[in-house]
Amino acid sequence: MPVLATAFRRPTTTPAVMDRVLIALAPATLASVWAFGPMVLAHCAVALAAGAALDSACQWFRKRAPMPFVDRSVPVTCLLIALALPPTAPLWIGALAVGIAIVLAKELYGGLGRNVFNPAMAGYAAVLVAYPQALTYMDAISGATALDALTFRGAKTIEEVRSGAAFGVIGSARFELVNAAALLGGLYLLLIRVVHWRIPVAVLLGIALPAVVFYDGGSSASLGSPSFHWFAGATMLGAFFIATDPVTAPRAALDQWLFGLGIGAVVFAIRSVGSHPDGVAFAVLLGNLATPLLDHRHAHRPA
Amino acid sequence: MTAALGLGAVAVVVGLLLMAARWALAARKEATATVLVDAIDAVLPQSQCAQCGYPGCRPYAEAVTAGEKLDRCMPGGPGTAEKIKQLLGREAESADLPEVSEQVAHIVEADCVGCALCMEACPVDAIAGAPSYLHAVIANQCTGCELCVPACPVDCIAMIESAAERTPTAIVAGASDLLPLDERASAEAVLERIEAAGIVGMGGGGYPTAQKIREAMAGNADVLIGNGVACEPGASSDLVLLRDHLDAVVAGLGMVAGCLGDDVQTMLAVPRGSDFAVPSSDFALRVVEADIDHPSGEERRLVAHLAERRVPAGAYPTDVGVLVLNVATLFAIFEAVRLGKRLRRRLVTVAGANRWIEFGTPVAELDQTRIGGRLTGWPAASDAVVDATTFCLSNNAAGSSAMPCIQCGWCEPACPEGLSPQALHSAFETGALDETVGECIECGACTAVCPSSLDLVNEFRALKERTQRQQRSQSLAQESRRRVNAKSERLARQARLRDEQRDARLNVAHRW
Repeated sequence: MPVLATAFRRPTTTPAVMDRVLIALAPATLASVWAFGPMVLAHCAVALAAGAALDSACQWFRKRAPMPFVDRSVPVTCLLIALALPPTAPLWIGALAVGIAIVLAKELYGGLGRNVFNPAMAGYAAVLVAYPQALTYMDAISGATALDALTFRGAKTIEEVRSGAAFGVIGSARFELVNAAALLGGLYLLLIRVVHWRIPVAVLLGIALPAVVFYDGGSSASLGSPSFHWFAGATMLGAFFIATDPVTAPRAALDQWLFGLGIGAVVFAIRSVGSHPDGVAFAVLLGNLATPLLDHRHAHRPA
Repeated sequence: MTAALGLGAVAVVVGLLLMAARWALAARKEATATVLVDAIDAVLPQSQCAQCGYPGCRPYAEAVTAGEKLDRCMPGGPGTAEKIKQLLGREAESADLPEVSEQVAHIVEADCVGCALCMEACPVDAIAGAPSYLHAVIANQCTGCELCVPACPVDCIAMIESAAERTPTAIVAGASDLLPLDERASAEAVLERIEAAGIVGMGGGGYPTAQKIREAMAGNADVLIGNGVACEPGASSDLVLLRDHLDAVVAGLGMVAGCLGDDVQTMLAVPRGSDFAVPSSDFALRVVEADIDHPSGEERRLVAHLAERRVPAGAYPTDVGVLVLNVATLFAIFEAVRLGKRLRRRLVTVAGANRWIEFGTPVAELDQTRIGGRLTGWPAASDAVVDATTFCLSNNAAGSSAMPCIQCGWCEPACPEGLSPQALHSAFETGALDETVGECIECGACTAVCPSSLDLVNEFRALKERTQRQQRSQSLAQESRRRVNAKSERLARQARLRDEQRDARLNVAHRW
């Protein structure tokens, strides 16, 4: 057995699994704070507080002991929402997204393990659709993001767009740092075998394959290179932390490949031809919708 | 503005489409209603017993199609309810399916006057006998419809618990010891001794050992395996027997080998990495390390590994010519034959330590709460006692801090039988049935890896029982139906015969 794998023993209880996911989210959170400033921390704090309060309320309503964060998937959901929001968004939007995630997307479906949609993405997508202006990365610090620049670039070639301040070394300025940190956390999850490599690899391939096919060297019609897409927007968070949610992902190996590739392809499609700059949330929700259908093929048919 | 109008238009169109769809479906539903009533009527046992509150089976079929609860058919039981559920496609009605206690009619012979009125009342011809003689209920044909009870003029019919529900009574060993037998004892004498000493499979099965050996002899078994490999990682009673009483175990193995004849290939399976000084034996014995992963001591895996024979699901090793006996059973055989001891105590791993414990000792008295170990055990009932199959007692309670299943899928590769514990768990939770649970060997590998600490093995045991009960009641309902038809045909035939005879008499009269 490799030395590293024994050093990081696979956790044995569900709360411990979620704890490891929280640990794995730490680099991405720190990178976010470094890239976008202390407002990220404020968003995290508001989201976690709202999550603790709402989860306790739901448990109390269901006549269980209202212990905040006994179910450790709640802080994971809150943190993912806080990281998905732009730092300029009003703080109450984070609380609203958490509310939709915990109450509508999870508890109303029967609680942990029974939700159809990834709660974090359901909450984020709901506020994204409801308050599009508040959720754009547009301000004095960052300007438009690289994905915004690509979506609304007019007739510029890639080289011309790239010279803008929104672009970094390989991907999108600031976002490439967050993505690299998320990749680091994701690799940790693979190492301790909390997450299987199949879905993250499938999602990344699902983005890269169409990007390679449509990449034409950077003309005005180009849709961006694979490496750009990997390190822009929420790619790495989506591939390692969101699409891999076991509750809302299919079970069989082939289905997981289809699920991941589908999410990747939809992310690419939304980024290149859709009206939203990024599409990870919508892609994951579409994938979640397909999961029961994929699982159904393997369902044990009662006699 | 345009957007709002556009969305409104889409909403109106979709609404109209939904209305049309609902209307079309409702029309189709009406057309299929009579077909449905026929199909449900065909599933019902046709006892016409009216216990459902309707005058007969067809009226109930009509009512259930119109929305009546689908668990009203008592003779049909949960099996029939499940079939109706499938026909109606109604979901989430599992709460409607109660645990019906299976009951059968019983004629108290001391009070019976032999009037045979009950035979006429029985819709499935499950009462055998003749007028003015005692008659009896054929228990496994009785649907428990209670129609015979009001028919009896002397109230001699009682409803009792069905035999299928009754657990076999434990073998109670006699008080005194037996005379020791020496080496010259014949195979038949050894088998009789094993029977008299009350020896049953001590690895967990509890099957009478003499009967098992006889079945192996009848099936010309050519491989005999002494199983010293535990099924439960926490149990060490078999290992201690091997360490401290190896000569006795080997002698017991020799006695069984003697029953099977000279050509039998005899093996003693010991855990991986164990080191024993095997005593010399007067028969060809091979000691093999079972180099397989948990559950290595499970019979079918052991047979596949050591004898290279596959035991089909639902079959036993004796069906493929292999006799597997647990080392505790072999030790008991040695004691019964050579020392004349009856089986009254066994070595039990109690919270990690091994002790000889008399049968009948309450589990509670030993301060234990679980029969078996962490993986394969189950919570002990408050009145549970140690018996021949109790190889391990513990205090570990899986499922005590259970979280919901998050479908992580870790249990799927863990299952040595290639089942989907996740799917079985959801079947257990939703009250559905899953026939694949029959292949579960209850090894507890899934329980061991479950991060949500679910007590999967015991869920699957309950699921197995539920599935078996359903299959039993389904086959009973099918048989009842056949008998109802046979009875009505017989009655029609008798009526026809009577008519013909009367016509013949009348014809004679006319001639006069």
